[in-house]
Amino acid sequence: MSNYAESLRDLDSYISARVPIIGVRSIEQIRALRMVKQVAAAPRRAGLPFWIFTRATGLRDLRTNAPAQEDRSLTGAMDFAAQQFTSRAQATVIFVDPENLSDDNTASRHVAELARLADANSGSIVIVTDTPLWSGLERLGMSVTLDLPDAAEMYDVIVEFLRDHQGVVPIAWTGQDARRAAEFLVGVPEGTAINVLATLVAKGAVERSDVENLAEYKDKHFGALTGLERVKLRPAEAAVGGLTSLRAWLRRKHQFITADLRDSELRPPRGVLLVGVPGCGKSLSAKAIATEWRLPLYRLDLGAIMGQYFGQSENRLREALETADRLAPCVLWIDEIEKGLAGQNDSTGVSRRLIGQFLFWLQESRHRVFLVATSNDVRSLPPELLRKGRFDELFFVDLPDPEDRQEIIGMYYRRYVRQEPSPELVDKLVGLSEGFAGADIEAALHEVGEQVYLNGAESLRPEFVLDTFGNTMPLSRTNPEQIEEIRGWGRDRAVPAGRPAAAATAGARRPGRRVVVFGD
Amino acid sequence: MWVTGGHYQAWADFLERWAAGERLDPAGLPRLVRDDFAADSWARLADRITGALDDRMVAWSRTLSRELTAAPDEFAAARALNHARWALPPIRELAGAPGLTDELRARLTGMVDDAIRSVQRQIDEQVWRMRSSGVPRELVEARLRTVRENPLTAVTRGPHVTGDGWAAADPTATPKRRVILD
Repeated sequence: MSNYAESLRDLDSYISARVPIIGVRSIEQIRALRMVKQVAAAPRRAGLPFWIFTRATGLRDLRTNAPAQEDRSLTGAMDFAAQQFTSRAQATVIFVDPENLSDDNTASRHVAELARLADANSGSIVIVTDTPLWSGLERLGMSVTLDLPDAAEMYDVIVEFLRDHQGVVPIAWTGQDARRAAEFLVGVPEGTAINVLATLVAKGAVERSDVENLAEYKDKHFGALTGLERVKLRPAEAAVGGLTSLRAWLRRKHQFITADLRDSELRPPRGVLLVGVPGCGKSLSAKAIATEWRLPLYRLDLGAIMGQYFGQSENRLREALETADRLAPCVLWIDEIEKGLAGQNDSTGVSRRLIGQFLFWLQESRHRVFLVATSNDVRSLPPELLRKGRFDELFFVDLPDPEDRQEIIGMYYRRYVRQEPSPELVDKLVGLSEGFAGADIEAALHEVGEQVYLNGAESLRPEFVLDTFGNTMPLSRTNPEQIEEIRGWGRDRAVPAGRPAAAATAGARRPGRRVVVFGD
Repeated sequence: MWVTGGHYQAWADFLERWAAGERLDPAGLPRLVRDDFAADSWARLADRITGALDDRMVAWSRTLSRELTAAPDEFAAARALNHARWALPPIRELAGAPGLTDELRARLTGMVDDAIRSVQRQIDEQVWRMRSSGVPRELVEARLRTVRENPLTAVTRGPHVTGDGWAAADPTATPKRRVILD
């Protein structure tokens, strides 16, 4: 059942029960009033009077829109309500967006008096507001919270809007496209969704490719928020290969990110934690997943979340995660998660609270936010973050094996040197790059690319390329203990992101598990 | 023949109690005909009516001023203005009582309405003075909106809802709830 249908059902029963004060909380006033009007329009309520007060229009009959009195003041409307409640039974007066009812003040206490007057004669006051009501008012009645439209409701909005414009402009969307569009627009008010759709119609045609662009409209709607930034993906980041196990796993999960799970108890995938040797493509994987799944990528910067005042960090993280939920479906990337959530040597308790908040969101959120967290030093992460049920899977990304290095060398050679390397050169480079991370290979070939740029392609000699590789000092040589420690941890506790050990190339020193570029 | 005794006395008694704040309906007062009174009696009666109206208006204006000054927020200020409006229809009812002559009725109603407009002007001027006396702009704007939304002069334009609904309420009554079933 959609949130609207659920709220409608609750409001309907509260009106029937003659609850003296009913709070309808929503940031979408028009949608909330549509719901109230729908309840009032029920045939069995034809004999019951309903009035509505707004500051702009004064007091009116809800059904006929006829003004009820000349006086347009709130106090005048309350006097009118008092008169109705004392002179007839089962009157209902709706107050739209009255001010200052969130705390204990004269306005709230006056409304409480009015509610008691209503209660004496089966009257009801409905308060449509976007702020919480004072607890003294809440105690006298019941509340309904109308959330933003969910995917099913948004789908209906889209279909109805497009149906109205059928024949006006060419509309290429299929039912499936409308479903995807609904997923993208979840988290924005109905009015904003209609504005977005109207903008698509205004450009002359609604094309299938417009579905992907809806994420950008959402960005504009939510604007800048501390700690959360949209990562623009370049076409080169779509060309990725390698990471056999991870890719196979992601292909399976992709079906659930897009699947209609309304009729099942299954939840959308939560995300992965990628741990491993620095420079082996963990961050690249986040970009590759977003590119491959055609979802927007947002980066959560835990450093920017940290505030200097008490509670500021927690508030910022809560806001950022709430916004991520509203931006769904999307990929949320947390790079080097240990730097924000390590917390072992934190005396302030902030990190512990952030971890708790983060774990709660990870476990409870039902939005299609796929989390890709990366970590170089997983030992400093709190154990509760690593236990089963938090992330869907924990993958270990190791140094590339010879076969993967061959693939990486070919890819970066073509990208930076703009030539096809000879097989002999590649063989020698594969040998020289033993212990290199993908980033080391990229850096070496970038340097070669600079040489070609300055002196021309004809100046490039294989010896220069070999020397560049020979002079590169990878982390595995400058800090072998650290690398071995990371590999030791990952091999025992995580799923290899690369090829499974049994399928690894014979003769390789370690089972192959490299990350190269995605892309089949 | 002059009939000053009975009618004069009925009006005089009514005016005395009414001026003290009693809720009385002037519709039942005897009809006054100028020619039935000696000139000085007529003048005295007119003065008594004017005096009673004046007493009520002065009391009304003091109450409004006290409530407005004590209002802790805009809602309380709006309620003070609204309470003031509740008190005006009974005063206008006496000024427009059916027992009065047309000439007297028009003069007294005009006098009361002028007094209401005068108080409204004073309130407006008071808000403008707030602006020049350094009160923060948003507070002045809020008060201005309150005053505009709750004009005292609304009662001069026709029937106005009063506090009868509240007056009829019994704060000790046990609620009567009747659920509506299909």
